[in-house]
Amino acid sequence: MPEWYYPDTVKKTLQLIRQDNTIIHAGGTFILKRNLGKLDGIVDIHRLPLNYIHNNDDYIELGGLNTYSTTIDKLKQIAPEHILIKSLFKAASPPLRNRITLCGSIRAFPIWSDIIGPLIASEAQLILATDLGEKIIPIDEYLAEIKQFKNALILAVRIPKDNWQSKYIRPSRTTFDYSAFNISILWKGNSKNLEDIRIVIVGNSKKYFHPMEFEKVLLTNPINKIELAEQIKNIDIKFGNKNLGNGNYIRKLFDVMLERAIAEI
Amino acid sequence: MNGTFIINGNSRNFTFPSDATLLQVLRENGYSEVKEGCNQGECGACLILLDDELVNSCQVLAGSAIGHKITTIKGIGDIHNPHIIQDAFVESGAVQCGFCTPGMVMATYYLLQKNPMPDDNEIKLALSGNLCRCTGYVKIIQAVKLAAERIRNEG
Repeated sequence: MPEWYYPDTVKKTLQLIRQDNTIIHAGGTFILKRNLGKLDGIVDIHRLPLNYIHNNDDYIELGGLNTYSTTIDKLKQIAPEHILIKSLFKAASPPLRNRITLCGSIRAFPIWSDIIGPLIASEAQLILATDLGEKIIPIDEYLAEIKQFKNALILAVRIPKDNWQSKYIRPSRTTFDYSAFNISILWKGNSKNLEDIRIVIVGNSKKYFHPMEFEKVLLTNPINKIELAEQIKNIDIKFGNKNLGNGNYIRKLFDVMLERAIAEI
Repeated sequence: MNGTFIINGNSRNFTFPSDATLLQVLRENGYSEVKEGCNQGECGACLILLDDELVNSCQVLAGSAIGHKITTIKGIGDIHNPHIIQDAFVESGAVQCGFCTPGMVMATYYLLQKNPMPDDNEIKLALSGNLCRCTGYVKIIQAVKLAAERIRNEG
């Protein structure tokens, strides 16, 4: 049976998580899916002061122990239209949103994640505590080399401030069900003059995907002149079988939902 | 492992396996008003307040709740001294088999503390983590509205 630890400093936490067969407990909802009885240690990090939000000139910094609910509440005060508010509000159910934390959710990165797409699209950075000191890295770099950061602790998420408009699309069977995939869209301008656009799809065979070629097409042509359906079919993305349907059906659903979203822009 | 919890205002000490959920610890120690449903955080039958935040007790490891304040439905009101919300559920016919009711009442209590005048959509969203297999939700939503109105009138 695992032993519980309750460190109150980052230094002690890093020492503890270096131990074999030991995991971090942040919100705890994801680790419950594991066979906890076989672990040697559980490191509960709730005594660390990581449930803050800082509103800086260039970025918003959210401590890793903010739950989805506290993130929504705090972010609403600063950036009420932020895509993260839209995505986290659709994630899970109200009581689960009171438990799931930013750092736990990023570290676990389940395929249904509602936080990864908006953070990648926003070009968020993570502040990590490592044995070599604090390190700030883009979230996509962290995800690409997540094994390398096994013994690191996510202290905070830093989101650049910008005036993006946004859409978050999340098809699922019921409101609180896992989504088949999700699409985060950030853009500036309008259909006549699209200045910039970022699209991130989560839940596909590559876990997440940033269709840069498609973005280029949107930015270099007037949207009403683009054969959207044709261009979307060319996006190299595949989906596995989900609760909502098989991989082919999910791909068709994705094509339709992305086309509608772009048309609405 | 061993831990003390503040449950409905009383300090209680329990011994439990270190991988136990809060739901397991509560039920094994007599708090049978906290219902065990799906055990996956989907049905809402096991809802409690942990430090005044609504949580699925099946999704909370007991080791993480040691020293914290826990409120079950009996901490809000009981058969001798029911809460306005509990009365509203009875009067509205929002209780059929009753299994989901503690969770529904806890979710309603949490909602009305944050938003005393919710509209239909806000009620539906607040109860989106609660499943009822009997009533079809119409009576439950009526009960929440009735409770909200009475709490507002009480001032």
